[in-house]
Amino acid sequence: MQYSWLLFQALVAVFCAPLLSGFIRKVKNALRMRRGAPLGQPYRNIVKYLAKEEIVSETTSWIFRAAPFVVLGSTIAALMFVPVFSFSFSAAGMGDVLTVFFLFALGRFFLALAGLDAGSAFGGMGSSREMFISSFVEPVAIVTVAVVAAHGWSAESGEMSRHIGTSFSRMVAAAALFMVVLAETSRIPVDNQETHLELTMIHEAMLLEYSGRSLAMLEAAASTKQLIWFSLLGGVLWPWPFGGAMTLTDGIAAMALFGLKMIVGALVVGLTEIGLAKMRLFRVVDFLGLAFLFSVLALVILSLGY
Amino acid sequence: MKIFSGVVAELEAQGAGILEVFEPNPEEAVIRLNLEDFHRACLFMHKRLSSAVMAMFAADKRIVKSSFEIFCVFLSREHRKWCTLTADIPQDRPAFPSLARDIHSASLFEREIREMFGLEPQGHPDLRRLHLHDEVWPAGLFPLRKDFVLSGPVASDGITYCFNRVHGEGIFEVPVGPVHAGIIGPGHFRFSAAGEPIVNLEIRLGFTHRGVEKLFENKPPQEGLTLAERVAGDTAFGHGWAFCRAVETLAGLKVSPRALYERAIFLELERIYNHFAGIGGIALDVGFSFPAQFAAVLKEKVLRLNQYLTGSRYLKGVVCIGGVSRGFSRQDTRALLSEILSVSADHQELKKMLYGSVSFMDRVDDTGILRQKTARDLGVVGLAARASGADLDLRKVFPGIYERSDFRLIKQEKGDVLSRLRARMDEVDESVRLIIYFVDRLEEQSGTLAADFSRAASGRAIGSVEGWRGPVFYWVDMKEGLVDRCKIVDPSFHNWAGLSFAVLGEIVPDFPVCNKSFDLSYAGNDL
Amino acid sequence: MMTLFFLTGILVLTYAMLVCHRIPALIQNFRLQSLFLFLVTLDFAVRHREAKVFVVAGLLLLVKVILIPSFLSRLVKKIKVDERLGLFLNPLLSLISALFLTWGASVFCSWFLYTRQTAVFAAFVVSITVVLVGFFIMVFRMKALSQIVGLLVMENGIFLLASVMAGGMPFFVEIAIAFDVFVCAIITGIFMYRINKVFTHIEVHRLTDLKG
Repeated sequence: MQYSWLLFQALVAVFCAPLLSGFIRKVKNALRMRRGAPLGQPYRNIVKYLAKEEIVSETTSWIFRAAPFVVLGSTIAALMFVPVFSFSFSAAGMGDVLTVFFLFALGRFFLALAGLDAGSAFGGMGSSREMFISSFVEPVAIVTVAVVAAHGWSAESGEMSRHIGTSFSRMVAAAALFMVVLAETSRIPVDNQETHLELTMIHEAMLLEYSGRSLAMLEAAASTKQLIWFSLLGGVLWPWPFGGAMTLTDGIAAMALFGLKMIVGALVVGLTEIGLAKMRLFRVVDFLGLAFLFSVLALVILSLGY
Repeated sequence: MKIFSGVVAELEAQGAGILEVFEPNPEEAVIRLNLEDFHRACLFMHKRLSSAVMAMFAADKRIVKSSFEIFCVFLSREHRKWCTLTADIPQDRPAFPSLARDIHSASLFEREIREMFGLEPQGHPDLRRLHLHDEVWPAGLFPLRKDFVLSGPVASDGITYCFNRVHGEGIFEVPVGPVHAGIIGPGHFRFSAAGEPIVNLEIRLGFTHRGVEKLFENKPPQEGLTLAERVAGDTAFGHGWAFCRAVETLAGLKVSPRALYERAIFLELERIYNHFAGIGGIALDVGFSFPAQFAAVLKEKVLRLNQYLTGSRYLKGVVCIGGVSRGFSRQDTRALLSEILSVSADHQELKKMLYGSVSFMDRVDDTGILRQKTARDLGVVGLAARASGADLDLRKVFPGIYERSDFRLIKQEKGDVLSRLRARMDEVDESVRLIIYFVDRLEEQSGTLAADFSRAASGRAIGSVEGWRGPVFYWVDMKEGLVDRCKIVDPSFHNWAGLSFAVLGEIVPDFPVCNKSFDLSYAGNDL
Repeated sequence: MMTLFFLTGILVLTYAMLVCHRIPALIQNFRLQSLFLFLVTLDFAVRHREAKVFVVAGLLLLVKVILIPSFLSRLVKKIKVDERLGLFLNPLLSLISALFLTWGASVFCSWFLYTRQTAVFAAFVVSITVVLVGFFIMVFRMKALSQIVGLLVMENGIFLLASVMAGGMPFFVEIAIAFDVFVCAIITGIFMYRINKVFTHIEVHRLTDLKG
C-alpha cells in the first residue's frame, strides 16, 4: 500500500512539473506586459520532441546516448526520497536527503560529460561552468540540510519534516536554500533559461547537441528537479503537517497545500528573475559564498540550541 | 573656415608632385598626383588633417585612359572638406604602394581593392581576401573590373581561410557562427580563450556579399537609389540620402529647405528607432528582460509612426533625388509631435529603470572598453568613436540644415558598454529635440517637395550623411546619366575592428553584450 | 513566527550589505533593512498595544525607510560620483569576518540569556550583529557615503537591542534620536557634497592627500 502511494506521488509530481515551469513563465510574461506562450507550452514542447527524429553526432560515445537516461532516472529516483505531499510517503528505509543530493550529483556528472562528448565548444564551456557553480552549491545544500536534520537527529527526510515549528536556524537555512534553488534551477541571477546566446549559457549549453526523445527526457528531468528543489525549500520553511495515517480529505488538503507552496515559490522566483540582470559568471562566487555563509550561520545558531 | 590651399601648399613643400588640384564643390577638394608620390602624400594628409582613411577605392578606367584610378579620401574637420587624393595606375603594372603598414585604417580597404580589381598593394602585411571567400571564389577573377563577365557558377580553388592562431597551453579556439541563434546577420567569430578570458578575437565577415557596387554600374540614378536603400536595411534612409546627395551635388541640383527639413526629421527618426533597438538588445543580452521588452515596445511605436507618416516602417522609398517623395500635412505634424513626445517620456522611464538597477550597471560598467587611442588608430567612426571620446559627427562638420539648430555633439569618455549605452540614450534625447525644432521650422516652409531631375548628368561627387551608426559615405561617378562607379562605405566597415579590440580581456559570456553595444551591420560591411 | 521571519530578513540583509559592490545597492539594502525593522516594531506594538510604540514605528518608517534613503540616492546622483564602493576587504573575507562576529555575539548572548524564547534570543543576536556589521562597513569601505550608511546601520542595531532589552527606550529619547539621526544624515550629505567639490572624489583614505 505504501509503495503504491509512493508511486502515485512520484507520477503526479513528474506530471505536474512542467506545469510549474509554465506557470513561472506566465508570471514573468505577465510582469513584462506580454501574453507569452500558454500555460501548457512545456507539455507541448515535450510531446513535440518525442515525435521528432533524434540526430546523434558521429563523434560521440556511449555516454552521450546514456546520459539522458541516467539524468531522468536519477531525478525520478531522487523524487522518491523527497516527501512531496506528505512526510510519510517517502522511501524511508532506503535513504535520506543526502541520497537526493548524491543522485543529483550523478545526473549532473553524466550531463557534464555529455556536454563535453560532442566536442563542440559551447558544450565544453557549459560543462565547465556548471561544474564550477555546483562546487559552490553542494556544500551549501548539505550544510543547510544538516541544520534542518539536526532537529530530529535524523537526516531522513520524512523524519525531518515531521518536526513542525520554526526555529531561527531553520529560517536562516531557508535563506541559504533559496539562493541554492536559484542556482540549481538555472534562474536569473545565476543563469538565464530564456536566452538564445550560446556563449552565455550554463545549463542549456550542455543540452545543445540533444534532439528528439533525449531532449524530451532532459527537459522532463530539468522540470522535475525544479519541483524537487521547490519542495525542499517549502519543506524547510513550512514543513509538511500531513503524514502517518491519512484520510482522503487529508490527502486532498496535502495536495492543495503543496500547490499553494509551489505557487508562492513561483511568484517569488518570477519576481526575482524579472527584477535582476544576470550576474557575471565570477560574481556568482560572491552570491553563493553568501549562501554558504548563511548556512554556516544557521549551523552556528543551531549549535546554541535555537 | 581656413582656406584649403594652405594645406596644398604644405603638401607641395613636402616634395609631392601634384598634377592637379580642384574643388568640384564646396565640400570637396581633389588632388591628383603621380603614383610614386601617392604614399607620401597620403601619409602627410593623414597626419596633417588628423583623419583616418575614410575611404580608399579604385575605379577601372582602362577603356577611357588605359589605366586604373586609385582614390584615398580623408576628412578635414577644420576645413570642413573631404580631401580626395587620387592617382593613375597604369594597366600594364597593376600595383600600388600600400599604406597599410603606416596607416592602419587603410588596410581593409586595400584588401578589398586587391580582391575586386586585382591591383596589388605592395608591402601589405595581410593579403587574405575579405568578401570573396576562398572557399567559393577562385583566384584571378576580379568582379569590379569592367571586363568581368559572370557566365555561370564558379568553382573554388580549394583554399581555406587561415585564421590567426594563438598557441599555448590551455588556449581554446571557439568558433561562433556564421549561423547564429539570434536574428542577426551572418558573421564568423573565432575566439582564442584561456578558460573564460578572451585572449584574441578574429572576425571574418563577407558572408552577405551581394556585389552591390557592381549592381550599381550602368543604372540610372533612380534605380541606384532603390539599390542604395537596400544595402543596409536598418539604415535605409541614411544610405538613400547619402546617395541622393552625391547625385544632386554632381548634377548641381538644389534641394528646397522644406525637403531638407523633412529629410532631417526622417534621419532622426531612423536614429531613434535604431537606438531603442540597441538599448533593448544590450539589456536583453545581460538577461534583464523587462527593460528589453519596454525598449522593444518603444521601437515598435516609432516604427508605427514611420508607417503612418510614410507608409513604410523602415523609411524605404521616402527620399528621392531632389527631395522627398511625401510631404507632411498639418495632421501629420501634429501626430508626429504627440507621438514623439510620448515616446520621449517613456524613454525617461527606461533610463531610470536601467540606471537604477545595480545588477545591470554592474554588468555594463567597465565592460568592453575601447580606448580612445585604439579607436583613433583603427579609424573607428560614429557612435562607437564618440563613446570613446572622439569628436566626430558629420552633423557638426557639414551642418547643412542643422546649422542653426544648436546641435549638441553627444560623446562619452570611457568607451565601455555603459558609455555606448549612455551615448545612445543621450542621442535619442537630442534627436527628439531636433525633430521638434525641425517640425517648428517646417511650418514656415512652402518650397517644392522634390526638385525636377531629368537630365543626363555627368561627373563625380561625394555624398555623406551621419547615419545612426556613423558616417555613411557614397562616391558616385556618373557618365551620361548612368552610374559608372559607385563606392559605398558603411560605418560598420570601419568599426568591426574596434569590436575585436574591445573584447580583449573580457570573459566569453560578456561578448554578446559587447557586440550588441556596437550593434554593427553585417550586410552594410559586406556590400 | 512572523517576528522570527522579520529578524531573519534583517540578518540576511545585513549580510547582503557586505557583498555590495555599488553604493545604490548599499542604500537599497539599508532601506529594506529599516523596513523589516519597522515590521518588527509594528509587530511588537500590535502585541503590546502601546500607542507610543506605534508612533515610534511610524517615525522609523518615515525617517529611515522613506526620507533618508531617498535623500542619499539623490545625493549620489547629484554629486555624480563613481558608484563603485571600494572594498578594503573582499566580499568573501568580509562575510567570514561577519560570521565570526555573529558567532561571537551568539556565544556572548547565550552566557547571560536564560530564556527559551527563540524570538528574544534571535533579536539579541541580530541586533549585536547589526551593530558590529555597521561598524565593519564604516571601517572597511572606501567611500565616505558608506560611513553614513554604516552609522545608520549601527543605529538600527542599537534601536533593536534597546527594544528587546528594555521594551524600547523612553519615548522622548526615541523621538530625539530620530531627529538627531535625520539631521546628522543631512549634514553629512552636505559635507559629502563639499568634499566631492574640493577633492573631486569621496574616498576616505585619500582625504589626507594634500590639496592646495
